[in-house]
Amino acid sequence: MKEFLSAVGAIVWKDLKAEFRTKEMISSMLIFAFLVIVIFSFAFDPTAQSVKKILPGVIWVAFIFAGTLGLNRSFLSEQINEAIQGLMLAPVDRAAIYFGKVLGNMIYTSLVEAVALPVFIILFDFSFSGSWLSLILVVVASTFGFVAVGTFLAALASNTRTSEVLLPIILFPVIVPVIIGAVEMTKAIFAGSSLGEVATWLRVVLVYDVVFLVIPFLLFDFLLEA
Amino acid sequence: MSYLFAAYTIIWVVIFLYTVYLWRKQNEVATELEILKRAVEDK
Amino acid sequence: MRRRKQAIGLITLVVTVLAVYLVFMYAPVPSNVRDLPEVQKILYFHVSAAWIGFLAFFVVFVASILYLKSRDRKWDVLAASSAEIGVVFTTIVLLTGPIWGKAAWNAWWTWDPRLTTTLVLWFIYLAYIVIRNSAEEDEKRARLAAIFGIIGFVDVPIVFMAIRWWRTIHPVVFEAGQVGLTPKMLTTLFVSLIAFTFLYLYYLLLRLDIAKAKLELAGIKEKLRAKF
Repeated sequence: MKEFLSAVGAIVWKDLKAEFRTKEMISSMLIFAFLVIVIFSFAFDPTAQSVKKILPGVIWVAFIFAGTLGLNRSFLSEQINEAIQGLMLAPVDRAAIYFGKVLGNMIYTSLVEAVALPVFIILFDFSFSGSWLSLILVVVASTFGFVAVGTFLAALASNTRTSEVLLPIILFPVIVPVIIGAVEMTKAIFAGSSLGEVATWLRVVLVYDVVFLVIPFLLFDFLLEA
Repeated sequence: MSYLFAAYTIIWVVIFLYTVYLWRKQNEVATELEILKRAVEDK
Repeated sequence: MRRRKQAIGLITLVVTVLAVYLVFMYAPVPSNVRDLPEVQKILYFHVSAAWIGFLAFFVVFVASILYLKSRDRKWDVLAASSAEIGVVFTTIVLLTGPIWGKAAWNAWWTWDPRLTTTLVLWFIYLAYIVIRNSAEEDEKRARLAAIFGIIGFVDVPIVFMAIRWWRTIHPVVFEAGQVGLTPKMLTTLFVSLIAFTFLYLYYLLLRLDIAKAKLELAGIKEKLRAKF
């Protein structure tokens, strides 16, 4: 177990180190998330009262799009110089690669969200009355479901000819429950609801998190064959 | 009544097209197989 | 093999004709629906197509597991065939659903939970087919598709639950098809279900035949290539 955790840690550390040398991916994800919001404000009148109602949805669209951008990179970068072969040859359980990548992607996506969310609230002049702690919990729980299944499908897509184009097509239908849950919960918490009032959705998202962490874990060996 | 008619027309058109598609595909493959087999025997 | 396919084809034709007869001649028009009561007859084949859609994707799921366990090509071929047929039937559901909706509630699409789940299901299995088309080698294609076949199927119940709760939060304008079915209607529905199940079997046999012939073709071509 200890060995497994240190393998996971090593993978996260390697990816973070490579990323923070260039910061290419994080900065692209951030810029992309902002662009989505800016495009939305041109598409709808940002000062209209009705826009406040759809703001949670807009925010999540931006997060999901920006997140997908990052997910795409996580395994494609390993294809260069056949780096993935090296990872697979390491004498550790291959599930460590999956968990390491999930953690890494979780860190990038959370960082982007942590910067973008306050800015979105300011840009739309949104008077936030709910509790920040509940909001953070809801965002983290939803992001985790998205990243867990997204990392796995990114690994799957990286094995095909059309990987970057393929990932959104195969990922978006699968994450429908998380998107619904995330938007409904964010909307409720923006309106001042407590966590207890969104318990149903939180349960859906948590079940999703667990299911799509366990099943990829079981199937990951099959994915990395050859 | 026209809605009912439209719905059933669509159902049968889809089924008909898919059936024809499968039949044609099967014919194509079968013919190709036949030609190749004969060619191999002639050699 | 050929005999069996022809026999199933014949049974399919007979049962389907019987089902159509029952739908239009035997099944009564519901008395508790005010506007356009005949439109309710869309139900028989709409529901049957939905049933085949779900059955087909269950077959994909089981065949995917069996493929990953045994690495036998026949399971892959079964999964691929079933997925394609499933997409055809869910397409029928998605085309007839809005027609019914327009007639009964005067709106093409009402985000009814069942219809919306079918839409997501349709997208998931389109994704399955896209994966099959974009993997290069046969072995890899089979493996990646099997993995996604499992993921996709596991997702469907969660999608359904999420969409149902989502719809109960939003105002439900229309209560979907809460028409009680009389025994005569149930008989008609049952025969329609059997008709489409046979149609599914027939398509499956056809598809498997084609796949087998293709494999044989590839084998001969390989041999020829080795010769020259």
